[in-house]
Amino acid sequence: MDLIDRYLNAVAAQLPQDQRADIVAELRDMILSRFEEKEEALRRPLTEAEQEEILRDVGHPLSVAARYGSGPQHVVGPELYPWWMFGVRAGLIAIVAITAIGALVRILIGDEEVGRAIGQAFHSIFNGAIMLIGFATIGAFVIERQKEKPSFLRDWRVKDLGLFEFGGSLNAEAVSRGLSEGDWTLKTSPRKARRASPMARAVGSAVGWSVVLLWWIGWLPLTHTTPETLNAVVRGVDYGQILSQIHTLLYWPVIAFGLARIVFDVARVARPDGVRFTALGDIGFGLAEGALFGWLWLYSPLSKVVFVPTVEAFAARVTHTVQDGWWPLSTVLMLCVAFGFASAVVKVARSAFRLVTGYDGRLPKG
Amino acid sequence: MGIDIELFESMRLELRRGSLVLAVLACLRTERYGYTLRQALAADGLEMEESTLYPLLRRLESQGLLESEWREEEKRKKRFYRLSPGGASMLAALTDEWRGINASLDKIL
Repeated sequence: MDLIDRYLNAVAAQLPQDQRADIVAELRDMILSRFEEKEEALRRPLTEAEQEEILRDVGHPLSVAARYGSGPQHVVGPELYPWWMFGVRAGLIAIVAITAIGALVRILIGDEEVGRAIGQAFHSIFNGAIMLIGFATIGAFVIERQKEKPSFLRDWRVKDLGLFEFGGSLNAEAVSRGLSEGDWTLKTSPRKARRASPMARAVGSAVGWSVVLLWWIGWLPLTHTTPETLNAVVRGVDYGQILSQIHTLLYWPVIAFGLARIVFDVARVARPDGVRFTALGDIGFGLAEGALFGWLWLYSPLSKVVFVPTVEAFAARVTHTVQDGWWPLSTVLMLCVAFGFASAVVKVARSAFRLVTGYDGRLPKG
Repeated sequence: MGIDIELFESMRLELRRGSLVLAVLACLRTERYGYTLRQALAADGLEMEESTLYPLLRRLESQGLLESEWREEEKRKKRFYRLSPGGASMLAALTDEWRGINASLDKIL
C-alpha cells in the first residue's frame, strides 16, 4: 500500500458511508495532480519524503474529513456557550451549598471529624463538578445538533433577567437568599429590591430539581456516606436506619415528583404568564408535599419520633422545649415536619386563590 | 508603531473568508474541476487551501448553486463543476451586494 492509499484510507474512515467513495475519488485526483505538478517542476519522480510533505500540506486526515461534515464542528458553539457557562456556574453553587450543608450536619451530629468531613466535602465537590460539567456538555452537544435552536436563546425579555444577575457573582448573600427565598437577584446595589420573574423562578426551579434528582439517584456523588453507614444514634434512636428506610420507601415517588416538577418548570418557561396554569400545577405539587409530610407524621419510620396525637400534646412539647432551653433532635424534626405540612397547606390555598382569580401578585408589573 | 503580524493574519483571513464563495461562484461560470479551479483562483491572487475548497464545492452543490459530473480527462476521472441556473441568480445578487459594500467602504476609507 503506497502513501496516498494509506492517507486516503485514514480520511475515508472518518467519512459518512454514502459519500465516502465520491469524496475519496475526488481527493485522490487532487493529490495526484499535486504530485504531477511537483514532478514537472523537478523533472523527476517524487521521493517518498516529498510525497509525504505534499500530503501534510493537504491536511491531517481528521481535519480534512471533518470539513466535509454537515453538522457543527464544535461541542458547544459560541451562541450556546454563555448559557452552558451560566448553567455550570449555577450548578456548581448548588453543589457547593448541598455538600457544605451535608458536611455541617455530619459534624454537628458527631458522625465525622471536622478535618475528614472537610476533606470529603472537597472530594465530593470535585466529583460533582466533573459530573455536572459532563452532563451540561452532553446537553449542549445535543442542543447544538438540533435544526431548530431552543426558543430561550432568542425569545427573552428584559424583565426575566434577574436570574442572570446572580450568575455573574459567587456572592454569599445572593446564594443564601436565593436558596431560602428563590430570589436570585442581586441586592448589593442601592436600587430597590424586586422579585424574580416567573420565568426566572421556573428556570431556577428546574435547574435546582435536576441537581437534586441526580443526587437522589446517586449520579451526583455529593455525599460519601449512605444513611446505613451514618452513625447517627441520638438518645437511642438510630436516625441513619430511619433515613435508610425512608430513602427506600420514597425512592420512586421522589423520582416521579422530581421529573414531574422539571417537566412542569420547563412548561412554565414556555408560558411564563400562565397564572392559572402555574396555579394548577402548584396545587398538585402542594398536595403531594402535604401528603409527604402527612405520611412522615403518621405512617413513616420517622413517625415514632415526631408523632404527637393532639394539638395540646404538640404545644406542651414545644413549651417544654422553650422553657428547658434545650432542643432535642426529635422536637426539631417534629417542628420541621409540622412546618412543612403547614407550608404545603398555605401553598395550596394561595394557589387555589390564584387559580380562581387569575391574579398573581408576584408577577412583575408591566 | 508596527502591527501585530499574528493579529493581522487572523483579521485578513476573516476579511477574505466571506469573499471566497463569491470568487468560487464567479470562477465556475466556466466549467472546471477542483484542481484547475484552485489554479485559476491563485492566478487571480486568491490562494485557497484544498481542504477548504473541496468541501466548499460540495456544500455549494448540495445547496443547488453548482452542478457537477464525473468525466475522464488526461487518463483520470475528474469531477467537473459549473454554475447552476440557481447559482447564476445567486451570483448576480451577491455581486450587487459586494459592489454595495465596496462602494460604502470606499467612502469610509
